Amino acid sequence: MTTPPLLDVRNLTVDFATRDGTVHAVENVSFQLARGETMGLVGESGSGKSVSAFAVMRLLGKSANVRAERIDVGGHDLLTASEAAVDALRGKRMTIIFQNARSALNPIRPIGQQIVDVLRTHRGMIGKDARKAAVAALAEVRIPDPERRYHAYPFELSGGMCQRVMIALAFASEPELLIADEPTTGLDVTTQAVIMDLIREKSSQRRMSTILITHDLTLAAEYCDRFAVMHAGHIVEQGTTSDIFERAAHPYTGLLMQATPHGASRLEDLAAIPGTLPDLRRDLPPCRFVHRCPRAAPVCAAALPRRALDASHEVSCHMPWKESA
Amino acid sequence: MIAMIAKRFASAIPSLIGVIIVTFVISHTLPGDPAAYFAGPSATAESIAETRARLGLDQPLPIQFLTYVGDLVQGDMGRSFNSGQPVLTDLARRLPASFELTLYALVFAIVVAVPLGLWAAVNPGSWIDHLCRGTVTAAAAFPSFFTALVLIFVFYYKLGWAPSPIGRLAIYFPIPPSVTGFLTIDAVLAGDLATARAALGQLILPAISLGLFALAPLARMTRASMIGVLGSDFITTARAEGLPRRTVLWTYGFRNALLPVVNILGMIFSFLLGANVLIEQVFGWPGIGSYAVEAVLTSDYAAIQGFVVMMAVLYILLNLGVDILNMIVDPRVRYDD
Repeated sequence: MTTPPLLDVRNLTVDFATRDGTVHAVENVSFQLARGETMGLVGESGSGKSVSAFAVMRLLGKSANVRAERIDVGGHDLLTASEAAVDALRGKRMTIIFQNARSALNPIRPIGQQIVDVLRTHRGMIGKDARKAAVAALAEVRIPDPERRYHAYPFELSGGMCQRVMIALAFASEPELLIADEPTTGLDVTTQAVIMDLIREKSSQRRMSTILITHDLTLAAEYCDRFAVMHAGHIVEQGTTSDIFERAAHPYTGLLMQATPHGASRLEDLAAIPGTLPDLRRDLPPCRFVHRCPRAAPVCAAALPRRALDASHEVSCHMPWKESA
Repeated sequence: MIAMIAKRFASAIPSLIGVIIVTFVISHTLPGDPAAYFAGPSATAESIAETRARLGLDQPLPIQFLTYVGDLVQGDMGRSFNSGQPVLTDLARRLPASFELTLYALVFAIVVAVPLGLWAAVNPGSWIDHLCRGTVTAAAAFPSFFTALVLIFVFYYKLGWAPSPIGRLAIYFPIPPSVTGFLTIDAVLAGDLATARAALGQLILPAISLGLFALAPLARMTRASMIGVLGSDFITTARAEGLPRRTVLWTYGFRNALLPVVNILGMIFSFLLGANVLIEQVFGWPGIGSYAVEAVLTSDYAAIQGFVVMMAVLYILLNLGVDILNMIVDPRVRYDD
C-alpha cells in the first residue's frame, strides 16, 4: 500500500467502568482500511466488533475509557480532536448504519425530513433544493414512489424499507468511510441480498471504504475484500478473504468456519465452538481464547505474539495452523 | 380522526354511568340526616318527617335513584340545600374560579419542571441533577395546605408582597364582564389592566402552592423520558450523522421526550383539580373545591353528586383532550385503533 490508508487504527483499547468492575471490552486492536476497500469484522456476539466501530466514531459514552496509539480517518486525527471537530467529521467523513433500522430512525419525524436534516448540515442545502435532493436520495436506494414516501414515518415502512432509508441517510452526506453494523440482521434472506448489493453498489460508485460488522460469514465472504476476526476483544487474525477462508491460521477462525453453514453442509457437519466468551471483567490470560482452544499449549501463557504469515495475513497465536484444517 | 374521537367518547359512557351509580349510593349511605338538618334546630319529629317527604327522601333508594337519573338527563342536578340554587348554576358559577387556579398552577409547574427535568437529563449526576431531585422531592413532601400556609405567612404576613388571601379579587376592584370566566383574561379583554393585575396577584400564591405538588411527577417524568430518549438508537444515528447538537437535543430528543409528558398532563390536571379542595379552603377561593367540602359537611346530597359527576365528566373530557393532543404530536397514535 503506497497511498496512506483511509482509516488507520492502532492499538485501540476500550474499557468500560461498570458497577461490577472494569470490562476489558477491546484490547490492542489494530487495523487499516484502504480507500474503496471493504473489510469484514466478524466474531461472536460480545467480541467487541461494535465497540471498536463505535470507538472509531467516538460514539461511546462517558463510561468508556478509550485509549489508542492512533485513530485516523482520511488524515484527520480522531483521537485528540475536540468534540466539535468530531461532530464536523461525523456524517461528513464517516457514518454508520445500524442493525435495527426502524429504531435507528426518529419515530416522529417524516423520513424525508430526516434526510433533509443531514443535507442541511453537511451540504448546506435548504428549502426546495434539499427536498428535491432528499427525494432523489430515496429514489436512489430504490424506494418506490419516493415523492409520497418522503412524508412517511418509519413505522409505516417495512424493516427492509427502513434499512434503505438508513442507507439513503448515510450516503446523503457523501462520507468516505461507512461502518455497517449488522445491516441485514433481522431481514429476510432476499432482502438481505438486496440491501448488501445496494451498499456495495453505492460504496463502489463513490470509492468509499466500508467496514462490515457481521457474524454471518457466508454473507460477508461475498462482499468483503478482507477480514478481521475478533474474539473477546482481540483481533485474532486478519487477512484477505481467501487467507481467511482457505488458509485460516488461528484455531478460533478455523472453528468459526466449521460452525458456519455453507451450500453443501449438513447439520451434522456443523460444529459448535466449545465454551463461551471469557468474562471480560476478570483478569484475562494473554490469549483470551486459551480456555476454549483445542491447540492450547504451555507456551500460550506467554505474551501474545503478532505473526505476519505474509504481506496480507496476520495472526495472533502461539500455535497457529500452518495449513487449513 | 373524527371517528376516533367519537369512539373514545363513546367508550367513556360506561365509566360515566358507573360514576353516577357509585356516587348516588355512597352519598345516600353517608351518616347524617339532611332532613333533620334542614328542618332546623327547633324542629319536631313531625316537621322533620314533613321535610323528608318534601325532599323525596322518604322514597325507597331505587325510586330516588330513578328520579335522580331522570332529572340528570334533563340537565337538572337538583337543588343545593345550602345555597338554595340549582346545583348546576352553582357549579357553573364556581368552576371557572377553580379552572383558572388549576390552569395557572399547571403552567407554573410546567414552566419550572420541564426545563429542570431536561437540564437534569442532559447532565445526569451533575449538581443540577441533584438540585432538581432535592427541590422536587421537598416540594412534594409537604402537604399543599401546609405549603400554602407557609407561603401566606412569609409573603403576606411577613413581607407584605402578596395581597390578602381572601379569594379571587379584592372587593374594591370591579368584576369584569364574564367572557371566559377567567378573571385575569376577562379583565384584559375589558381593558381593565389594574383589575387584571390584582386578579393575577391573588392567583400567584395559591397557584404556586398547588403547582408545587405537580412539580415532582412532571420533572421526574421529563427527566426519565429525556434520559431514555437520549439513550435510544435514533439519537445515536443523529449524532453519527453529525447533526448539530442543538438539533439532536431539541428536534430529535426533546420532541420525543415530550410524548409521555403530554400523556400524564391530563392526569396531573385532574389531580390538581382534586387537590384544589384544600387550597381553596386556605385562600378563601370561591371554587368547586370549597363548595364540595361544604356539601360533604352538611350532607348536601345533590351538591355532592353534582360535584362528583362534574369531576367525572371533566376527567373524561381532559383525557379526550390529551388523546387529541397526542394524535397531533405523535404520528403513530393517529393510525392506531
